[in-house]
Amino acid sequence: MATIVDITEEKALEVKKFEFTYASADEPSIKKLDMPIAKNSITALIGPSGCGKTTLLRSFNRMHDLYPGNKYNGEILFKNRNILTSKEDLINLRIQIGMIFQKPTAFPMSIFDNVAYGMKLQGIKNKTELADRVEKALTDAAIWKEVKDRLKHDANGLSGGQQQRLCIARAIAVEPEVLLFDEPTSALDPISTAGIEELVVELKERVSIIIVTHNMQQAARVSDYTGFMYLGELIELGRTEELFVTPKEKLTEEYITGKFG
Amino acid sequence: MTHTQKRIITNNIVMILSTLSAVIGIGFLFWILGVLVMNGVDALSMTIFMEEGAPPGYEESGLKHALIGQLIIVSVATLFGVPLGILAGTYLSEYGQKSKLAETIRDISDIMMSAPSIVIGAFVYAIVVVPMGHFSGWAGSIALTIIMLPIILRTTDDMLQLVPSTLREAAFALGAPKYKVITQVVYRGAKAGILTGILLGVARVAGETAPLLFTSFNDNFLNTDMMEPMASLTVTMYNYATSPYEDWQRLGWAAAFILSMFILSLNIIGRLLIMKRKGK
Amino acid sequence: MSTKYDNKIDEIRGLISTLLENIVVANQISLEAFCSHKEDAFKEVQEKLNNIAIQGDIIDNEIIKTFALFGPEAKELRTLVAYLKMTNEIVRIGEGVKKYTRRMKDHTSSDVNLVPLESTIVQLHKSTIKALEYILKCFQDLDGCKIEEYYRKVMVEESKNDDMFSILEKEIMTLIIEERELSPEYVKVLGTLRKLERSCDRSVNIANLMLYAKEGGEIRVYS
Repeated sequence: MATIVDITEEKALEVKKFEFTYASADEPSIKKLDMPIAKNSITALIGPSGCGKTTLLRSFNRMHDLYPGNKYNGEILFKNRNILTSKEDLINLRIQIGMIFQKPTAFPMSIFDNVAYGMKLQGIKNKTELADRVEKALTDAAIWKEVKDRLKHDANGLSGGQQQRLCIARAIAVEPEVLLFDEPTSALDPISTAGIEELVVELKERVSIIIVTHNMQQAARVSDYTGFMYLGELIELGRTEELFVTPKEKLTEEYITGKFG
Repeated sequence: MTHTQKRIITNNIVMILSTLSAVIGIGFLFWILGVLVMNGVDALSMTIFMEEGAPPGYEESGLKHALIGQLIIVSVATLFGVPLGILAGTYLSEYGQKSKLAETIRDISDIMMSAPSIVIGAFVYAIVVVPMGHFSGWAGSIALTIIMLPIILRTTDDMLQLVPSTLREAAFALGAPKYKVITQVVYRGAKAGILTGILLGVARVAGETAPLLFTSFNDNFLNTDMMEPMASLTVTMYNYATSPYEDWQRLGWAAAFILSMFILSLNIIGRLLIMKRKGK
Repeated sequence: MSTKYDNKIDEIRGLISTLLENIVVANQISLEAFCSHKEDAFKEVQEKLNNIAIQGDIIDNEIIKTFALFGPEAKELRTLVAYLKMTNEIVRIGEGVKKYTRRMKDHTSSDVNLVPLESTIVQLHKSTIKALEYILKCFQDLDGCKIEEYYRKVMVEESKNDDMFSILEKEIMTLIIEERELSPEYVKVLGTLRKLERSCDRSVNIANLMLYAKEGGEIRVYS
């Protein structure tokens, strides 16, 4: 049974007895997992490769549905409903729960069109509204100054760190409630990484954030809560400043001190 | 002789042999072009583009009928072949993916690409020309479409698969429905590749002669009615070049030259597009 | 490092600053009480220094958290280690002031005659406070202050302090010879005064630690 600390904040998401099996697998990759996600906080998921942290992350916005044959069991509660049902409107869900990927994924279009993409999908056509929200999103992603004079340029001309900020701007332009970060800095250099980490900390004022990282130090620096996963189970969820000083589970302690993984 | 020395000599021998082969290959290309240019440029003149075909010996004799006919047949084939090919390629890459059906389609497409074009011509003869009772431009275009289809299908399939899956996921993650992900993101990412595929497909069918022999047959006069047999540059070139008449033979060379230049430029544009993409 | 780390460091500095300030003020009140012979002033000191041990623990735990979460290196590592050891010294100084004040209160109400010692005691106490004030001043403006300068000033106070204490030792010896029945009391007084002297030594330790944080090398606190 996992050791889970009591969350003082409101819950943005709650995972209940969640199980996930990949299409080609015999055994579930995630086993009867329970986990609360605090609102307006940063929850980090750490654990050795194959522990299921990315699998869990991609379940929050049902990314697994893109590939046939995957099976969900249990519940993930978001705004008082279980988002794992077949009735769930996936398009609406993904507007409210956005995702940033490991490799920066700028679309092959201009910087402006990239940021406006999500909004245009929702049917927003008014040019002024689009322009304003694009500017706001780029400002919040701390990249407005660098790109304001070349909004019509192709996004592929930006550096890796800039592209990742662009992807963040693109995601926050649709004003989501939750943002999922899948190892967002593992493809970036240390300076860009530091910039993205600062940005993530600022963003938590407006969004609830879940970040998967294989870099423990990043989890320690950035997050409010940390969940340690191992072999598809949640071993421990605790306040970051307590977990890294006095972890309650032996497995957590071994992982943090580098005894495995 | 030491081991190293042996190695160096073998290295050099292989290098010389491969360079020689390349030179020979390129040499042939330039030889062909050279002969074409020499014989074809001679016969080029404005009358070629202005006059229709005429009996041998006539002064006002040109290739207008053949050029226009070729244009019509190839354009119609492109009009059919490109959308079909792209849609089929899209199905394979985005929907079928690795399924049995998709893999079967890919295999069949590969086989069709290596099918002799004359066989395809005979096939279209059987299913279109015979029921219609006569040759027609439509039959010619259908034959060319069948030849073009696998090329465009394969290129589209390959180019779309090259678009990284994370790009699609990123679009989905913003709430895009599948068709928008394909049209707004994936197509844009594979734009240059698909265009190249189209150009190469068109270049391939523009030079076909055999399939047209049984389908559009040929015409010595200008005809824009697709229900009737139509002139084509390739068949006309075949006829004129094998005829005993000197002025017809000269026209044949001109036709060969024009055709080669057309296909050569299509190929060059296609490759320039690829280079431009890579340069970005 | 990131702003989160900077915020944490500022928080820790603030806590240490507050603790140090409380002790300096308490020390000043203690001196006041001695000079004006006011008994309740002694109580004020006790109240002010009531929970310095707890405050020290809080600071220590924050520093441990910072180590765990941020894994600092180089100057940041030395600074954090210096703060950890400084906190220890500061709490000891505080405990010393508490004990001194309590014992001095007992001495003033006992039979010993402190009048001949008064002026020297005041000077000893003043120099102890001065050394602490230098430390506080430097700490409150850690980035701007010239540590070497303050180090020298603290050393000067420390040597003054040592001289005062030697004089007091001699004077108390004299008093012991004159009033032999009160000798155990006088020995106690010496012990009490030694607390002030030790506090001044600890100020030097703290100055050493600040120097270590800035320049590095190896810790050599108790020189």
